[in-house]
Amino acid sequence: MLQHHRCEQDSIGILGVGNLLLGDEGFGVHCIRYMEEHFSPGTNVQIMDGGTAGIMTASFIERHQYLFIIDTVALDEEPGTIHLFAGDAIHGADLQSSMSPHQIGLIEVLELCRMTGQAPEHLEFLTIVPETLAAGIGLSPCLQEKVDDMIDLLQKRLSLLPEGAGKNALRRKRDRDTCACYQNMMDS
Amino acid sequence: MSKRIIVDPITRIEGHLKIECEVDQGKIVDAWSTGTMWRGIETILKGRDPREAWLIAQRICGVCTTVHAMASVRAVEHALRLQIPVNAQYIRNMIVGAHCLADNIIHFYILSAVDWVDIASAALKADAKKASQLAQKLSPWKRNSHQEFKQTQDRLKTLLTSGQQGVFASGYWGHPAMKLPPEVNLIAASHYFQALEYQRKINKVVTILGSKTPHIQNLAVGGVANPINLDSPATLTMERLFYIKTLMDEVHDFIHQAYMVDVAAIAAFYPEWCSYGKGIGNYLSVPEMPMDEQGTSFAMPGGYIKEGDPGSLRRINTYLDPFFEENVKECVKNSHYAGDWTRHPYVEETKPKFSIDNEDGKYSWVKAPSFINEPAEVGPLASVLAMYAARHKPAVTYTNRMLETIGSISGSEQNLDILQSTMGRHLARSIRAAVVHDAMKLQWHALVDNIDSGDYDTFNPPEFPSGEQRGVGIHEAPRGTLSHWIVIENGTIRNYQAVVPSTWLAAPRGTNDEPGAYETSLVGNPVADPERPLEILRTVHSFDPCMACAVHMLDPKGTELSRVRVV
Repeated sequence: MLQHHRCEQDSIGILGVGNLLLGDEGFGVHCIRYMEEHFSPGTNVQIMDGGTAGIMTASFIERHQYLFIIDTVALDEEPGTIHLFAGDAIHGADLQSSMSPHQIGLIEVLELCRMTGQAPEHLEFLTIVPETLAAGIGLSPCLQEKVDDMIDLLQKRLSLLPEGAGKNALRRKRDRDTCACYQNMMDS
Repeated sequence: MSKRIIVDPITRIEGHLKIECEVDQGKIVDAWSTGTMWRGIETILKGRDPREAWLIAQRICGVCTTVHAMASVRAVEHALRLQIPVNAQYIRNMIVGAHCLADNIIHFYILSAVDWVDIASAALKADAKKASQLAQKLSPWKRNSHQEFKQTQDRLKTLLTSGQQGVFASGYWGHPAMKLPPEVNLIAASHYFQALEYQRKINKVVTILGSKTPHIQNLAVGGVANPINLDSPATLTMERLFYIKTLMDEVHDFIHQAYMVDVAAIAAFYPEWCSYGKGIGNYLSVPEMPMDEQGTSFAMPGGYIKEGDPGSLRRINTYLDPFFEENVKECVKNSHYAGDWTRHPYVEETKPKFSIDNEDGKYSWVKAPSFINEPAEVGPLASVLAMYAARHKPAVTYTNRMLETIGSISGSEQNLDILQSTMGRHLARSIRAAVVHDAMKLQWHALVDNIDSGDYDTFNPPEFPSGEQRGVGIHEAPRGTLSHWIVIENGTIRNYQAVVPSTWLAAPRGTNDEPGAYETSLVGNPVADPERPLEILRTVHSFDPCMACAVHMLDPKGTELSRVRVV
């Protein structure tokens, strides 16, 4: 028998992915870092910096009933445009053939989880169009401004979940002044 | 008439690699490897604090995270001639071992098994009962039951009939080069699913020791940031150490009773691939898992072998041995960088120069490394040959056992020569996994004993003198020898270069236009069907390619998974 890692009831995973060394490509990771500084996740919520999201993220993906992934998207649109892909829109083989070239990327990890019956029940991609992918640490001013918008969207999506899960899933910390400045974290 | 086959991209993970082959009468007569290796790390690290380089370096790649972190701290420590507390060495070594095992298991089952194992045959043609009888004859592995195989088969059938073949969508089913009996296909497919579980178990060791995966948090120039306090639950306690031991033991059985046996069985059914794919013949590896403060004693030996003769081994015994440091160079003659030079990494520069029509003859973003002015192959094969030549006991035992197993399945005696081949790289990787596991166990006991003796030390603070220091951090990573080269000036980074395993392997032609490792090993391989060049994938995948550029954006408009063109 295959041993199944049962995910916990109402558990929510928030996974930010991207390459921190390629400018806006790291947007998902920057959002996670910002959330870690300024937000308190509920007891049923886990936040993770998935980096470039290889197979190592599988155990995180499997652990949650609801999974939200923050990523960049290759669309020929205004940089900073936010797209939400939910439910069936990102299902199965369609996306496997439409993902980027490296073959165990996020979608392949999801496929592997699906194959063993361990994929999250509910999955959404929150994505943004990048401005620059040039080598360098830090976001373009355009995307830097969008971090809050992305987290607003995430909070909205969380609020639509059944109450047991979505309630108080992600709350802004009250005492913002005591937070270390997020920008300094990467630039120091 | 000869045909040119272009496979683009060939790697199953991270980044871009293009292989062009000229095929004449069903055989490859020439090959070119083109990569888009990303070289931005130098630009990003220049001017930064050497103590934070590892945090940034481990973001180079999403697969090989810990290895860049290790090589980076070792480079700075080498530059400062800084000694490391043994506890820190043992903890680092366990992370190195656990990461390597997870990577080896993933590479074989998830990334390369489908080159040899026909999933459709496993699903539709295999007899699950016969498969379990055969598997039980080959191995005492506890999860070779009829029920287990039946379940895998049902799962595969559902997958194939659902139209959503997921990760198997790019498989070459029914290809004339697929030769395993249906039952062996089913055994391997079953272990494919189990492999996902065992890689997760061993990865948990990385998470426990490194605080986080994929990007570990516990390293520091000078040691590790794991406080050892046997009474405090927030630190590394005996309870955690025993949990690590449990995870290691479970993975031991999977490596010895499933992974090694599967590779041996596949090798026995593909004898021709135990001779195709021989590479350059020069093999470079470095010692791994330092057991003392200075890096003069190692759990796993390494060194340089010339012209395929293990007897020629020149061992590298310490971090202070200049043999490695002095003899590595990189060449840009055929790579998209300004100039035509062959230089030492300390004095390299990275100035991209790209001409769209390739009028300058340059054809790859990968530089061409050399060792003593010749190209060399790195990877588990190089490491196993060096360990075997150094009479490293576990390496000799497991190599001989592997050769015997293949011999008993195929009915013909095997010798060490078969390792220098496409299949041999898989054999070597599984042998090395067993050696790494033993070495990891050694670290665990050494750590527990040392803590028991009252030594809790894990960190020696680095001091940066004024002036210039140079250092190289060497690491025998899952894909082979990795080196990070650093030049520090008055406490900040002046130059930084990473010479990664895939640079050695995917290299284009070098200083004297001698071909790189992929290019050499492809020549002479058969190609049965130019439209479905499975054989090219087999040889290239045997090296475990990983091109660290890692742009991974979501692309809802659709890009092809793999593109094959015949012109």
